[in-house]
Amino acid sequence: MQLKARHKIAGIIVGAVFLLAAPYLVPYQALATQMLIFAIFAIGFDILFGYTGLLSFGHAAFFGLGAYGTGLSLIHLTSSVPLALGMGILLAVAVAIPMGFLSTQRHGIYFAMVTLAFAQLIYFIAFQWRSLTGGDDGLQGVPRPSLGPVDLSSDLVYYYFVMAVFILALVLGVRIIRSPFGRALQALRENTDRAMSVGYDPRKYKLISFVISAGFAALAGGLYAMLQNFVPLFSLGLDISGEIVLMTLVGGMGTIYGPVIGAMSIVYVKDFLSSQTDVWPLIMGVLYVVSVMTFRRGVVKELKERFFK
Amino acid sequence: MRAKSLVMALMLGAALLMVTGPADAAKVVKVGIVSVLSGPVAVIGNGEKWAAEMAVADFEGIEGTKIELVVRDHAYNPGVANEKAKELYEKEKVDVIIACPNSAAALAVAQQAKLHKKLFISTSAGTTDLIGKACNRYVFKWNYNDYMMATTVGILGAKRLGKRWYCITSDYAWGHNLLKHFSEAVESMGGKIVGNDMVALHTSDYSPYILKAMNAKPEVLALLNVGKDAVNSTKAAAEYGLKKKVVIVHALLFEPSIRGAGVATFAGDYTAAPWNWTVDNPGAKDFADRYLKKTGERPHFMAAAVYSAVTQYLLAVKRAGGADPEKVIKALEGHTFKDMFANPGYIRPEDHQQVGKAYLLRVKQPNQVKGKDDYFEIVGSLPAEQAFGKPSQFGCKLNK
Repeated sequence: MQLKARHKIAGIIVGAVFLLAAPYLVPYQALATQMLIFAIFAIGFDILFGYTGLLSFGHAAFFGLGAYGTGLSLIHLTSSVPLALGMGILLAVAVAIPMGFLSTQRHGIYFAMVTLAFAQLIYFIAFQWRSLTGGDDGLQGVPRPSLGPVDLSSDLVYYYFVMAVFILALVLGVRIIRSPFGRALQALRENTDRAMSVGYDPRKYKLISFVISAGFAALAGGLYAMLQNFVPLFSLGLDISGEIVLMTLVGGMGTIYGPVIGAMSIVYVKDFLSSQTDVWPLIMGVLYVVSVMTFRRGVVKELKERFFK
Repeated sequence: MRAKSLVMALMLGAALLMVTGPADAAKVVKVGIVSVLSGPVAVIGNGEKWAAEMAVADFEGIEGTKIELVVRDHAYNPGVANEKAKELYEKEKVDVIIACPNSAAALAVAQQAKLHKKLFISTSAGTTDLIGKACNRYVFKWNYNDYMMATTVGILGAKRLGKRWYCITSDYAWGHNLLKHFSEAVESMGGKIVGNDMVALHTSDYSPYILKAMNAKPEVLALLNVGKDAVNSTKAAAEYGLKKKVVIVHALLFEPSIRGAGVATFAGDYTAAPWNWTVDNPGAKDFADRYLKKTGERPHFMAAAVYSAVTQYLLAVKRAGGADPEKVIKALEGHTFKDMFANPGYIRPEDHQQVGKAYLLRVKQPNQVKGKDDYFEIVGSLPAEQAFGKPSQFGCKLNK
């Protein structure tokens, strides 16, 4: 299923032009930034869901922890952007290790339920811990300091910063799945018993995959906190957990590029529809149903099959 | 030939200047509404949208100026509200954003207003942080706030309904704040809170709390919750016969919630509001009738507040001679007005809270209901100074 080199180069050029022009193509710059943020989230989620075959229903926990971690660091500790983002990732990873350790002991639907339960637990801790998180009102007043000499306070400059982070995340994501470690994940997904018989410890690989995807989610969350200048409690909520699954499915799980395209299109279409009509949630629902029925393997995989084979 | 084309170009340029000149002077005022238009609480936002449309049409009719209205749905999600506020201020270039239910959403939009140096009039968020630690000079708070609701019910209730109170409170920021203001009000009138239960949000079984409340033998049961929790707790109180022995008061109860659960559920209960469509302000009845004709419903107080806020904003723009935010702020600060919503209303310069009389309402018995949404009877009122407290007590420092 490897694409021809010609197609690859064309794809890279189209992608690069799109990324550079995106802030001018969408209704407002912050929307383009948000599309990329969810794309970063989707890269990490695809490593876990698409390549390891583990469907987590609780990844909003890591997105939100990244957002709160970064936001709290920027408010109380530091004005260094990389350090604050790192704190957000660290917080999410610190939670992901025990959470992943416990939830990867179960398979399939039980794994999904356990992750869901943990995520709700974290949601309610943030909901009640008002003095730290602001509770229901969210964490207000997250600053967006400058990155060295670069002033990030303009939404356009911030977009290009997020774009750079996105490209790094994409390269890292592709490196991870093409590495021997990534191959081992896919082997586990295809046939756990056979992978075990040649000496791979499934628990260890699943846990590492879980923690990596949590790290990507937290990075996205941290960027989101700086984009919004606040952290809504909603960032830990069920809706985000569900949405990232849909983004990955619509784009095409197990393709990395698919979930990226899925995430960007869903963020865009949602914003576009909600400015046009009040019944947009209904239309989104219909779109999901249609895309799952006609593009069962996701948009990217279907296109690959139909046009590049 | 060359000279001719140069002259042509100059003339064209002059013509362009003349076209853009006057067009700039007659710049239309652009009003943005960010509210909830989808999901279970869309009933709030739809009302706000309709009221804003009416206010704009009425103002255009009287003044003959063109007003542009842009409406966005935030789906009760603070993150989306923040994005929509950005979009409206930056891309749509609105002069003001009005409405925005959900306290977290309103706090986020208030921050965007400050960043963009444009106005935001919050009408439907209860948090006193908007006139407290999160206040800023670009934000005005219209309509009610949590302090005013709790104080009105607490003071008038302790005076007239009984001295022994039992509270059942939703266990999150909103409930905690409400309980604090509420106990202060009740105690200031010599009343006593004999017991309180903090109950998790979205609890379906209220029987243990109702049984506990019965043992405490209160005269008044205060339900500091909203939506499904309000319905479930009220129904449980009726099932256990507590409703026959005590008076029930609600922190927040308005027409849509009664429409949903049926008037019998809440009959005889008390609540507070800054406005009701039966109030005898000049023009209130007319507004309520026209709203009914347009929408098939009676306006709830959130909708009425948006009508008032849009109208008063446009009048302030007129007084200021343009939509320049700094001049409009001056025109609004300390302004006293009379309209269908507030009679009179006053905008405190210290914290930008619009204050007015507050009302105690009682839900009618089912056989007293005449016509659409005729659920409340106004049974008392509290002067603005008492209902809204002093601006100093919320900790707002506007001019730092």
